[in-house]
Amino acid sequence: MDSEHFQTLIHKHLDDVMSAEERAEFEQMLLTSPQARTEFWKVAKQHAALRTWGESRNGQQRGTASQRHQSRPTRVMWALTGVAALAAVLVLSLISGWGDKPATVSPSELSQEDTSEEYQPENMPAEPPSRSVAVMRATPDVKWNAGSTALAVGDSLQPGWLHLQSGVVQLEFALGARVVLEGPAEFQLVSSGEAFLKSGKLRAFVPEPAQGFRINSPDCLVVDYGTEFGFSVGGTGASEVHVFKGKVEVQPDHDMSRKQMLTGDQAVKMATGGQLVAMSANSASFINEDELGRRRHENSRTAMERWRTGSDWLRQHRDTALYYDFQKTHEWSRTLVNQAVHGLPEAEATVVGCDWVNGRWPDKGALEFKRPGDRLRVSLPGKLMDFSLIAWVRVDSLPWLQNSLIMGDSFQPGETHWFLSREGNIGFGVRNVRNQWTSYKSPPIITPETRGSWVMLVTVYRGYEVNGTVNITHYVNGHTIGSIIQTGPHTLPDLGTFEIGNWAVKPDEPIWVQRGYKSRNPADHVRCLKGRIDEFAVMRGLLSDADVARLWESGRTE
Amino acid sequence: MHLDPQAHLFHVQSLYVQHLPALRGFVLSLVTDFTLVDDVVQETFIVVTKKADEFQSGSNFRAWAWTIARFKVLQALERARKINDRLSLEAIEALCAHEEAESDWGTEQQLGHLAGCVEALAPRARQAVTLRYEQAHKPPEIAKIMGWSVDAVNVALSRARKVLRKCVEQRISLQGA
Repeated sequence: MDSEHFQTLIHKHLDDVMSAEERAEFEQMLLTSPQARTEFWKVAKQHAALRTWGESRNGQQRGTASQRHQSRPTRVMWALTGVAALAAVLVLSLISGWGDKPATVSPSELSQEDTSEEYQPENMPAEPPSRSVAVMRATPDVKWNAGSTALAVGDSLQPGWLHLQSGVVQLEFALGARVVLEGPAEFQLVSSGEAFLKSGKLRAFVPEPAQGFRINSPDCLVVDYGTEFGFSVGGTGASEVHVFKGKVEVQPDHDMSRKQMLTGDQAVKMATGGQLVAMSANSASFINEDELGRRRHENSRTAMERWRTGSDWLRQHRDTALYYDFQKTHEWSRTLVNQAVHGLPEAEATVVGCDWVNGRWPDKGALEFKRPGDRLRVSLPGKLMDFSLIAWVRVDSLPWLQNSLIMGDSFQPGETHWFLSREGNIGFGVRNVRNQWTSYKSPPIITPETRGSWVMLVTVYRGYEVNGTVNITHYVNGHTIGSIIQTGPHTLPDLGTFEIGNWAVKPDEPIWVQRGYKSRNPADHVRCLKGRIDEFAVMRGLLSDADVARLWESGRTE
Repeated sequence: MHLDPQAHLFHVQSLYVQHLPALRGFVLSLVTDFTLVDDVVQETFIVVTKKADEFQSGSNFRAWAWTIARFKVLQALERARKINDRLSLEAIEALCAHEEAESDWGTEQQLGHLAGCVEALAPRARQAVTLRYEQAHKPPEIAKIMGWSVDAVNVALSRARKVLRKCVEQRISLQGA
């Protein structure tokens, strides 16, 4: 086989410039020579890798444009195709280039900007075995040190450090010991039966099955033989151990030979030189579980009162078309009543799947989106000119290209989509008359650190502002994170029937293909949210920056 | 373990997404037309979804999905191309039988090096590569844009690919050493 010549043929095949004669020769070689087939796949794989590179670069360039946008305080418009950029004020056009075949343009075009081909769900159903050693139970008033991961109630904790700036957390170790840790504290989870207190104060409850629970500090080791003790490591490093009930063994300087057994109401302090100085136990200086419960309750009550002012404002505002506060009336309630005083009473949300869970506070209700079928279905008839979307969301993961906040499915001009992308951006788009999307994606806002925390997402759409432009602004937790002005053509948004937290489209049901669904990315129809929602509103009007900031103030968790 | 149908479907779709980069590469190599690739990949997904219950968890997903994809490739070529303008059934079958399951289709590392190597190409070669792979133009269109003959574009592209392959191999072996 002439290897050089065969190489040329492979390239011609891949570039689709092969004559019939060349193809006959090429096939002959492929059929007769295993070496030729091996060579083919080598070159083909490189060709495919180049295409992956090319496609991802396409996405990256658009990504860069929006990042540039982020760093500018003023509204910036940016040009992709066909629209002249006006000197200092740039004009952003639609994501175009699909106009030549409108029938095949699908909602997935919204994801054109993030269509790098190597995407993978982040939480595959087959999860690796958990390394969790403890679970976070309660976190009233908690503040984490800058740079450390903010943890929420219910989070599984792997071995590692907790850097607590202030507030109190309660941890349940897998073997049964419970620890109430007061900030400021530096605390390391070592295993399901062991921890290290570098600084700070804790109270430990060790039931029968957890006996032998060990906590180290820089200058001693404490082994618990049942029930309850307090342990503090001061700024100077000197540890104190206070036993309230049961028995505890203390080893100064981790020296087995000098270990000492303490029982109820006894306490010791490490003096310099590793001496143990006896003192009386002071239970009041360590926060106990009752106190923790009281604080949690108190905290929740104050926060809920603050939230109710914002909630009432939304409920009674003349522009509010839809308002769900997610306060369940009964365990079995399967509809959310539209609480907007000036809204349509029939615009209730039908709950499909979705379990009732706790929201931002223990007394706040929320619905959980966990299974692929969990969804809320809503109808809001009528076209909108200006409108604002508000949602309080706790994102657990973002496995899909688009993770639904709301998704319409009319496939008609006006259809509206609002979602979080896999990269953590807020995406928003309205299908226009050309079957393209008037859309805008914010810089990334959901990061691994903010997952599991409640965030307030707001998007404000100002229609037909000047000369047929629209203005889309995204807000996170009360602040603007990006704004864009787009030129036409536009269509008045028409939410119609839509889903919160999911998307109705299934590629194997003929109705969607008939309506015009055609995905560029397989699996793109899977858009179910993984997380919780505990407040949602649509307003037929514009929220101002100040309105958004006020709503955030009234609803924030910390 | 028996999953409920919904969870099983979800599992199968997740596996599909995991294998997607390789599957796209596989399809691209055989149908060659970039615009056809999306159709084939999507049709494959629809069949995978429909037949998910026939897939047994724990068995070889790649082999199962590749069989479906190969069938969809043949169908697409039959639809889109005249008989003497496409690879024959026999050639495709022979190639498929020879495609190794373990081989990778562009790891993160390879793609990273590839991006660096493209940057290092001569400007005109880089332009041709960009037009071909980023803008998805075919050689006759590239020839028009660049003012070259089609043959010149063909030669430039195949040369660039050879240079890039060597460059990536070199960078990987340097990193390994």
